[in-house]
Amino acid sequence: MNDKWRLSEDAQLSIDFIIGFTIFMIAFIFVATMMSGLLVNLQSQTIDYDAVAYRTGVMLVEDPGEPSDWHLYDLSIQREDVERLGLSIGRNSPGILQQAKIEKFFCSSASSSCEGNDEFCFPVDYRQKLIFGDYPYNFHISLNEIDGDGSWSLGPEPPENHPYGYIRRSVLIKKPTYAIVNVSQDPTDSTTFKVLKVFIDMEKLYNLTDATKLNPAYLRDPLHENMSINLQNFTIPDTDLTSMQMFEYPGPVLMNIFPDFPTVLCHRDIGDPDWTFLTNNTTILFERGYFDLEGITDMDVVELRLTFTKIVGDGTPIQLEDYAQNPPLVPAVLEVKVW
Amino acid sequence: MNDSGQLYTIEGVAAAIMMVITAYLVISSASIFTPQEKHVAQMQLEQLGHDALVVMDTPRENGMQSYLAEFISSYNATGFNQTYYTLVNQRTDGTFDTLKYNVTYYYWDGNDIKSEVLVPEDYYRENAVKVTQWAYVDSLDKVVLVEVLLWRD
Repeated sequence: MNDKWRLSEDAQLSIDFIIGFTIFMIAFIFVATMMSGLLVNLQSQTIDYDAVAYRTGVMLVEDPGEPSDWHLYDLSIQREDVERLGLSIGRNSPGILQQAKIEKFFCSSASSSCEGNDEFCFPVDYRQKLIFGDYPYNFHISLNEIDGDGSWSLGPEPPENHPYGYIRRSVLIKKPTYAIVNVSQDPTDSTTFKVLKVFIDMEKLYNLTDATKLNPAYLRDPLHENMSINLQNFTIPDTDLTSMQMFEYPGPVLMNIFPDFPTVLCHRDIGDPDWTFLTNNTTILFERGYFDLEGITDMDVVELRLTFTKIVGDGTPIQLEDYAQNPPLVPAVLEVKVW
Repeated sequence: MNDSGQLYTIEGVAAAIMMVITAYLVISSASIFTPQEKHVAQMQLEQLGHDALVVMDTPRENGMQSYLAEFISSYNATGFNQTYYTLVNQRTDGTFDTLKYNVTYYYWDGNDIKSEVLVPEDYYRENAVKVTQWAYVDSLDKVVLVEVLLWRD
């Protein structure tokens, strides 16, 4: 054969190159496969969960929610109007939680009938109004008073040995207003004042007449929180309460007392509604949202008129702002776990 | 075909395998502890430490002195320590965390910035955060800067 037509081997790949290239490709594929694993670890789920837990903690502790009086809403009809949950008393008072909001927040049910009741649906409502995000996070929120009785929790604890995002916050809880009213029962008194009138002047309760603005943490706030009046010092046995009426001024116009929440209740002892046989533990409770539902604002005056079977006092009406006070703020711990 | 100048294949294979093993070891060990995680842990400490100072600086009732002002004006280190310890360490299930801290406060005495150690605690270069809070101490008529160095034991 002519040299001219002989096939040349110059352009062929060397065996070394082929082997080297193969090993490089294997190594490259190895690294590329592991790379995705590496990125997953960098964007580790613990970090993500910690961020969600932090955000949830901030919203609970530093935000009053949207609208800020969401805890007065009847969830059976106004569920969609509650856009965001928060426990703080106000935007300018971070770290101070309102007991009324805490009670409403932790009132939940996992049953399918929860939509029709005045309670939150667990976990759907909390995911929509508090946790946010598309991922269906699991969560456990707990709040515990330090040296107090109050203890609330929501959702199951994370499974054992399961990583979760965590945040703990120190907070103060603002308790509802109360008033202690001593009745004076003098059996020898010839007058017959069996009616006790309690005037609730909102303007004075809210210190609107004072030039110095009171810190909301110390505000007496019956429009947004429970308020109770403790009647004490009953000395004549068998003093019964025969009627309880509410009037709005000017007028006076008779107000409704609703058959169920929110209403005005007479408790003989805690958790025991009773009209008769008053004791020194008798409490009149204005449930949160009652005044709101009746259209009372912080400029109005209302009267609570109590009629007894025996003499109570000398007929002088009681001005509630002289008696109503707030218990001290209670320190507490809030924990959020997300996984 | 000319073989001169080519690498020995076995050597090449051995080197490649070593590279792959090294890469595997590095990747699998590097992702356990990342800077972001460290950051989250510190952020949690900072938040909690500051929360506790704010809680102590808020008077429990209107017109009352705050715990922070009260403890500083009477130099009540025990009282401060007990209150702060509970606030940063107590969990909601009643158990206690293992946070440690030392507390110093600074004030201007008219000529100089003075400092007083309120809670001493030995610090051995753990990952610590520093939180501060300005507080007005009524009875001393002074503004003090309370500084807490906080770490997890």
